[in-house]
Amino acid sequence: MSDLHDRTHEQYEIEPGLETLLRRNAARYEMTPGQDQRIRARLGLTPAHDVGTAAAASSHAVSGDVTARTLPVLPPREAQPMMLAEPQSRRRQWIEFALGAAAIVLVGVLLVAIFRGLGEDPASQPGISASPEPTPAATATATIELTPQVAPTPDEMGMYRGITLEQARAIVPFPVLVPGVVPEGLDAPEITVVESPPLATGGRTYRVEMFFGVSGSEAPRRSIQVLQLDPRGTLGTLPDGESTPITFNGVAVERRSGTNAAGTPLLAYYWRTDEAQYQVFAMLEPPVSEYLLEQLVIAILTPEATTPDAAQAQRAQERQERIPFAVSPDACDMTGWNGPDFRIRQQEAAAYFLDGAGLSLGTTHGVITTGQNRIDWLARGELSTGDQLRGPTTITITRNDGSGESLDLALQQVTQVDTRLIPDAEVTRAWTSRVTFPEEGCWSVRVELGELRLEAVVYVYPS
Amino acid sequence: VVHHAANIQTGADLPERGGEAVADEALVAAAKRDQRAFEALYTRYVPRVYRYARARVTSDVAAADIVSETMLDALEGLERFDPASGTFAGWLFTIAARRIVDRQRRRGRLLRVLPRVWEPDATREDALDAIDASDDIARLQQQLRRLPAQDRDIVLLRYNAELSSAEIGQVLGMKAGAVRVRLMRTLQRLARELNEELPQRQDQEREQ
Repeated sequence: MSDLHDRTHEQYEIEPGLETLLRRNAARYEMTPGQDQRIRARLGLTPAHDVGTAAAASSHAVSGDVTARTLPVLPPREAQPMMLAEPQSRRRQWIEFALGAAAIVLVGVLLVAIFRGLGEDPASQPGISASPEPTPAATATATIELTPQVAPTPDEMGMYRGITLEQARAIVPFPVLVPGVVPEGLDAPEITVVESPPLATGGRTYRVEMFFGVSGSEAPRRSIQVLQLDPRGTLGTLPDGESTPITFNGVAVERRSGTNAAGTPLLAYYWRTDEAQYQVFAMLEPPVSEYLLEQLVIAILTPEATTPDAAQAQRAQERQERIPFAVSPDACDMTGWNGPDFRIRQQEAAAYFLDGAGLSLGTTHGVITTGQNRIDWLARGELSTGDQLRGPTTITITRNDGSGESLDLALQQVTQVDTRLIPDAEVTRAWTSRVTFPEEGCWSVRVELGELRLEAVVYVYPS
Repeated sequence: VVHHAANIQTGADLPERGGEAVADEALVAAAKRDQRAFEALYTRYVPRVYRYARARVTSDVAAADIVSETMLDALEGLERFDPASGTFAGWLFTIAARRIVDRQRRRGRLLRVLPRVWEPDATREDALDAIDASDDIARLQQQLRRLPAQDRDIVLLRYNAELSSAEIGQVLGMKAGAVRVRLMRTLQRLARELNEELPQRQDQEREQ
């Protein structure tokens, strides 16, 4: 860190011990190369060419040594690899388009004026004085969509955030792979699709980002990143260390290891097909292990998962044979996520709610799957003391196919949220819980809590 | 007041922004002509914006988001930046502070409803504290949390964002003199409270 006094050229009195402590405290916070790379991509700046560059550049900048990096000469825009949607290039296209259009109009008006023998100032002609800058580009902001949307639309960055697997598959033209079975220790993924601006060669590229959460009892929560992209794009820089070819389930995979600037081991698995390329990447810090990454790669490359639609159809077929009354998602009249209109961006805690009579059910990702789900509950209304303490204890689900089959599912790990933290909301009580849905399909859900009720139709997807 | 004259460090006459070979104004002018030149400003300020944001929010991800939004706002609004109204650093951190407040407002609403949603973040913070924060740092952070919000912000803008009093005033809408007074008082308070907790230990460290 640079000398603060040098920067601020101010005199003041402070205990040296406190000054040192304050500086040490500030120095604890360093952005990771991955974060830096994402922001650079968002801004349309030069991507960091290796994972250590950003940190090194950062430390140079803090020490004031930026001379060497001042006003860098960047490669031409079209020569840059397509990594993420670039608003600047989109803006530039708009501006170039508008300027071009304005120039054509200007020439046309001039010609008309010449032919008419008028010596008028072309700028006074209608249409000429209009600003060539298109409004959409000038007003782009980084707003967060607060209302859950059934049909996702990209934000100004071309990103579909916090969407479901089905939504991702509807957007992306290549097969989106998911593990047939999520390895133990990994959470269900957050899914984001990044859409590129239109390409000169036609169409767009799409990049699917999945973050599988990894939790350990004594280690910070980490994540494993799975990237999927069509063959035209660049997935990102692989670790620059040892490269080892490996075959998983008949698929040739490149294993690349390395370390970042802080010395943390990095590991990536990369493979490509005619339709897409794939990368599984993580920092090997507890609880993330090489074994876990390998398990995830194998799970993604199981024959089922490599052709997900076929696999899904096969599972549906099996289900049809076993349970003749299975209903497809299309035929299921699901209740829309109609709860409180807040939702925050992926990697924190997206929240989709179903609102009932004083009782709401919330999920993190807007999708319920077979197996254990985290379900949050909000209550609005009068409750007895017992209800206040206990929260919902069972959820009754009825198969929505006319069979009338009904099950009571026990809610586990119901934990009450401290209501002192809900001082002015309409919500009077909130709980978190875990609930296991045994079968995929279209289910009617009914939950009671004192006088409060929730009834909704949900589709439980295969996990 | 616990601190002693011998322990007080007085800043000498110090050069203006001596560490930075190219002035912000030149970089801003270049970036206005060609947005690609924004790279230099990005490189210069991203670590400081991150340190400031990270100290004010609860997760690495949130801090990175704020950095991203701040830099995007700066890039898109560069034309509107007027050097006559203050420094680029002051302008940039005004954006960052606004972004943080926006985020805290949104987050506050959600926290009121579902505080447990942030368990993973809390776990991470605890673990980080356990792993790489010394007792002194943990104690300092505890004291910082006890400060009134604006006093804490002044300290963070000073030490994490590395702003001058005038720039802090630009961010917070205060006069530079008022910032200086508040900073001095806050630092004295911090020193007093920290020394009250561990006077012996700090004396030993100084002697070494």
